[in-house]
Amino acid sequence: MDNLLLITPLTIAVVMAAGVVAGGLGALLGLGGGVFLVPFLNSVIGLPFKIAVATSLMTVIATSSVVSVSTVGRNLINLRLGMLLEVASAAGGVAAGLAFHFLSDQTLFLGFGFVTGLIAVIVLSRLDRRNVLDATADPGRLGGRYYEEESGREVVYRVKRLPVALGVSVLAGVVSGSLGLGGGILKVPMLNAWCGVPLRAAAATSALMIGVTAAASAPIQYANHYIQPPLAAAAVLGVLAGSRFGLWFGGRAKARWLKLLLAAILALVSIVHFAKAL
Amino acid sequence: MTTHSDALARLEYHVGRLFVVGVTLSAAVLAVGLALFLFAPDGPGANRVLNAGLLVLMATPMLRVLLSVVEYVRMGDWFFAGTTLAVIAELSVTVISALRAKV
Repeated sequence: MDNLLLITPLTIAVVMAAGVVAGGLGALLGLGGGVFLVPFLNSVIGLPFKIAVATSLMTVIATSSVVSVSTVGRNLINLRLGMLLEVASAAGGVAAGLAFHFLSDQTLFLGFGFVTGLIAVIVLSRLDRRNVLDATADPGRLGGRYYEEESGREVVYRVKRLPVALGVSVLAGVVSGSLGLGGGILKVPMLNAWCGVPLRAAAATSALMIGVTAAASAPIQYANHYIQPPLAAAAVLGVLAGSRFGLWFGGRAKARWLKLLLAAILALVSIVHFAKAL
Repeated sequence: MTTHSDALARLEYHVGRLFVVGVTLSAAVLAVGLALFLFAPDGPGANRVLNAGLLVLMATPMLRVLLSVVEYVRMGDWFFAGTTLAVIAELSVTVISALRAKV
């Protein structure tokens, strides 16, 4: 396992550039860059799949911290709901982190193919339904309220179907720890459509959660030598720069066509990984 | 209810500060490590610095959880203090497994 890879300055430059693109697209589309980064590092650069996954997981932690900084102070992050769901997602993350070393590449390819296919379907079918109560309503113990700039009023919401949220969070943790994806793309639509959390609050809460979830498995993969420090550093720095650009650009772009493009890319990535598993 | 949401706002503020420090520090350390790796690849320094940067990166969300438990205990919100402790217990499993694998 040790030093199988010869890391050249060119590899570092390519990985960093891939990080910029993945981070930029990820921030633009509201998901982590992992769905782009993992297939790129594995299929294009030729890194072993597990190294690609572990590298991506490091960038997930960085993305989580950066996105959370940008949403702090606007009451969008639901700290209590996030912490409760983190119990579930971290459990999934720890389990996946411990199992990771023993899983075959075939199993991981199958999982990656399945999850990217599922995400493609979610992206295509995503409904921007609003879940808003009257401003005087009591949000309950887990709900929240925040001030929405567009409408200029206070938004109040209550959390419904908590067991569903906990179940999906476990799954998101497993996906995070075994496939290097943040898992936000699974949690955000679920929190929004099934659990009554407005989209923005769901996205901000999920962004906060993916860092701890990834940190629940990343150290184990690090200890098992699935992290090549120079490559991980290049990817993390690239993603940090890219997500900054994506957030800036995201304020001005209509992302509809990008979502269609994303769904098409994901469908392709999904098929490729199913084919690799066979 | 207001005092409670004030306390939550304070927690959110501290969390934000922690993230700014964590991200800035890890990015700076990783950048230095990467520069060392590229321009002085033979020294032992590069890997040490890179590893330090990655450790800061991984520790940042963990510190956020520790910060939260302190704040929930101060609030006297025992349900969420317990929830946070459960996450800390899970993260301890991770850290212990990582340390054992490393040895």
